[in-house]
Amino acid sequence: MINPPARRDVLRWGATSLALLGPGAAGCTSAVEREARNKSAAGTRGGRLVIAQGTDIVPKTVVNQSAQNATWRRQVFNSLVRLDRKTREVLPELATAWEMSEGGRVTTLTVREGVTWHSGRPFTADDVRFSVEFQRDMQPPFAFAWLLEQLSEVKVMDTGTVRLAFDEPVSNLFDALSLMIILDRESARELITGAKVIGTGPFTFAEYRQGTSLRLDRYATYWESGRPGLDNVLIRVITKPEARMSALRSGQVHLATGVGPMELRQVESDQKFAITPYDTYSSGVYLGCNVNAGPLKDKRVRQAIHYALDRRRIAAEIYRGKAQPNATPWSAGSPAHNQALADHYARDLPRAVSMLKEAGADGAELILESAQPVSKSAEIVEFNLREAGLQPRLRVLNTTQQQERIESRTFEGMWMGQHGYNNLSPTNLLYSAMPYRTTQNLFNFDSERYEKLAQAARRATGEAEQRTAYDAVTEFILNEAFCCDLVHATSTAVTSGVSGWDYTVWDDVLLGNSTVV
Amino acid sequence: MLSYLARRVPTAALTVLLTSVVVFLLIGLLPGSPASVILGDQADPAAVAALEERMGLDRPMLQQYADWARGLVTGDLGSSYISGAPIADTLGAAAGATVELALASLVVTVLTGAGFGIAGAMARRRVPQTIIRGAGALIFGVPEYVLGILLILLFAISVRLLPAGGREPLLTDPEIGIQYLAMPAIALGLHSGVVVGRFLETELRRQLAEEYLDTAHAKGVSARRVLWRHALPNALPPVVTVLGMRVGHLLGGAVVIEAVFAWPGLGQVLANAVVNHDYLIIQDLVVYFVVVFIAVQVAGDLIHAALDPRVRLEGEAS
Amino acid sequence: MRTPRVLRAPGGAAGAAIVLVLVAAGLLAPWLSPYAPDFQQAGAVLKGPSAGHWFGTDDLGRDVLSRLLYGIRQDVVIIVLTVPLSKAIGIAFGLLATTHRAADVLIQRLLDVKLAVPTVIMGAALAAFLGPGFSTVLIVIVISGIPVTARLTRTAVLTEREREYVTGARVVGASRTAILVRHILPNAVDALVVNFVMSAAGAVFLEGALSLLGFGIQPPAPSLGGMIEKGLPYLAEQQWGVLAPIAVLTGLVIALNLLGDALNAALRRG
Repeated sequence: MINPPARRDVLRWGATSLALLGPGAAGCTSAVEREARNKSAAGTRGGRLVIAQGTDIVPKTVVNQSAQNATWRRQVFNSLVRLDRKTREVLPELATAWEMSEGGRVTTLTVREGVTWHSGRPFTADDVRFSVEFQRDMQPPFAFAWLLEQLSEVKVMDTGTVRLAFDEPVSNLFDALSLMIILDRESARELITGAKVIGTGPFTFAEYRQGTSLRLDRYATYWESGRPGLDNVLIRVITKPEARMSALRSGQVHLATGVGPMELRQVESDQKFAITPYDTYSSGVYLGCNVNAGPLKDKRVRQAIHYALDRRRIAAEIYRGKAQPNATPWSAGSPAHNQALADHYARDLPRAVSMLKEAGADGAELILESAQPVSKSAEIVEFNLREAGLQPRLRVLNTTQQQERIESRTFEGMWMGQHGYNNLSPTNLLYSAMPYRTTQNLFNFDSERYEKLAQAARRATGEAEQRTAYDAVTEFILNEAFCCDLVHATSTAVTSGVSGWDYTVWDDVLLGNSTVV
Repeated sequence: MLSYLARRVPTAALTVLLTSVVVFLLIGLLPGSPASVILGDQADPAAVAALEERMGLDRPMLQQYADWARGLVTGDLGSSYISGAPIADTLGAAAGATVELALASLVVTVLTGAGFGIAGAMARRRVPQTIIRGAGALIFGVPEYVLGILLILLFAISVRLLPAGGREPLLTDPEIGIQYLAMPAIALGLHSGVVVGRFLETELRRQLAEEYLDTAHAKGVSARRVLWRHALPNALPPVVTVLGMRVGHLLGGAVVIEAVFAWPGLGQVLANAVVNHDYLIIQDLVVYFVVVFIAVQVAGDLIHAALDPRVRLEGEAS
Repeated sequence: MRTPRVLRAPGGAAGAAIVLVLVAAGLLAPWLSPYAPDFQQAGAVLKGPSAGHWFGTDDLGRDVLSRLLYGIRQDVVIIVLTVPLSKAIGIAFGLLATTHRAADVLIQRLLDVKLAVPTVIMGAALAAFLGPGFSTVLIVIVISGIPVTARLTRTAVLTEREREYVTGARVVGASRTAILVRHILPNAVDALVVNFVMSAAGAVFLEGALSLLGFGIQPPAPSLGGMIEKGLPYLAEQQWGVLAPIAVLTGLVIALNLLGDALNAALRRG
């Protein structure tokens, strides 16, 4: 199909005719294979890195983990610490040292000197206090607000030291600190409305065009000497997958995030592209039921729905094998993972049908709302539910509606989306992940027993005790079926001519050390 | 000319005004208030009220309209209540891409229009005439978006000659930019080109048939010379008017073509706004589209009048 | 029986034949389709043409041919529902405009507004406020056909009114309405018939454009434009999923245009 000689001939013909018109046009370049010109050479300082992402950029939701802001949140903002993706070792960022005392109840952090905000103001320990308190209290809530709420005291000891004291010992503080960005106290309120974005990171938030692009400029007085290497970063929102790939192939874009399995096939065989499947397997595709909505109040209906779903087919056909069927929210890398439970809702259509009959819900009309990125899986789910005798109606929500629904927790029936927190401490998910958390979860599922099981999981020490506690809470979730996972997918980035880039345990892209070739 | 303007401008202004009123009233079509539509059926009334206040829907209708209309005139469009971004920035950024696409497709339209029109008028034999007419009818019947998809299939997939979608600004990098621009411009411009061509052909034939040309012919002037020197200058003015009218078609077509080629212009802004329930952007865009459309039409009429003494005189007389 | 003049022209005959075949295929979709249009076959995603699936399968393992037939059916339904209504409203507006000077001015200005907004853009605006879907498509198509019909009717009436037989009727003392309905309207029918066929082509075109933008018929319901939209990302892998609806849609538009042209020619001569 591809015919390079013919192509080149046509271009040469074009070039010749252009050359007749004037000099300078002779060196005609193909947009399709432009990058062939600048083959592998050592990365140099300066230059622009162009990123393409499929979802819109939403500055006002930057404090939490999201695919919308993953490309830029850690360029503009620093966190106190970073976790090594493999060893989970805590690495310094704005905090240079930390010390735990009183049996894990108190943590004293030493903050970095010589750091300035993009506004020029020096960064001090008081900014840490502000950030912690702000993200503890803000609405919509920060994912680890539940943990910060247990703080009995945030005390600035001097400009370089801050002390965090909790009511009881905490084990996953650094999970929280590695996600939490440090906010500027002068502009944080404007950040929430998306109007002003000031951080301490390697790049400044320079020019934002809604639905189109975001330009980040090199912050000349960044604290890490010699960094960043790039002059600027341009993030483009290219929603159409095919346009994203053509921009990548033509060298208009160096890095594409969230590349689907369909598009991967176009670049897999090409040496020019580096394919990076994130080792975090951090995207859990879930389906939950608003337990206040009609027939979904009945546990049997919710269970029947999950028995009706064809998880294997979704993993094989939508994710083309780059996902694992799994009904629990724990990925294989999580200490809570249990394969037998992961397979609990293996497809059993006759059982689903009879359960629905028993509950008197066969033929029930149900609304299935879905986030854009999982809408194709939702089409399979819709078909599966119809096979089970329900009358589902699929509605794909846009980012805004989704945001509003999530904030007000008012889904009209079922809801399909993606969650994170499935590979670190299970406590994170039980308290942070919106679909699953014990209080104020998306599906209005509220149970004392759930709360108790989650607490047991949080307090459990030692492998055997943890195993029992984790399995107990997992079995409870599967049985109540207010929300269960379908598959766990890996997010994939494709790069061309980019060196030194990395991503965090939270899938946030890091470009401080990056250069373009 | 002045009297023409005096007649045309008030009507145009009235149309724009009426459009803005109709567009403003569209909000009444929603099953509830915009805030409740965004928040969904099960939303908390307090949350709906809060969002309504944020959107300024608690003001009296007339004031809402007046504020909005003033913003449209001054360019102070406020911020999107969905994303918080200034609407003027969003529109400004995308307008460049759409203008680029529109101008390029206008070039395609003029070239194909001239080609079809002149070839059609010159073709005296049956076979070439049928071929030209047939090709025209075929292109006319094929919707722009279908043409765009066929181009992608041919030149981006079968032969990897051009990128399937996206944009690089022409002014930033002409060499690459033109490769992104080529297919969408052709897909968008060809259709109108055929329409203009058909019209031009009719005009040319009429001119050629007129007596004074027969006289010119009798004087021994060649057919080609008659066409270029006599028929074409006389046929052009009405064609300019048709071209102006095609701009509306072009604007509508651009919305679909931008979607097919992922061209980041106003059409994409519009489509995204529809998906996001960003009502304000949609209302602003529709009014601006109408302003541009009418302005281009008036300009087309003016050029027509300037080129054609008959119209100019008629204008003075009435 | 004599062959009608329209069908004696090659364009008219071809157009009529294509329209007839496609309309029949659409109406018979439930009997002709090998599968239900929303049946997903596990393990058969984006397959090329085969004996079981003549046009292959789409990204969810659905039979392209079955969806195509139901998509045609959808368009036929849309034409039947929208075009007569649109013409009726257009004729009413046109007639109304000829009765009073004030009504004329008002209607002309309203039509100006409609004509100043490209139909696709109007469709986008209506989809935003009414929500995308079948009924929005119907409304957009109905509105889009009004101005041309209204103007045609108005012009036809004004021209006919000056003719002798109308003046004669007026002298005899027939009422205004009676003159309109009995004498003038039948003579304006020719132009309207052509307009009717052309509007059907416009309806097909618009359904495609709106669905392609995601404002039209919502999945999993099949429609020609919707199939194109869903198939586009897989153009490199399964071209039939897009080529088939494109071919049918274009064929239908061209055939209706041909038929309209032939009608126009035939009526003018006849």
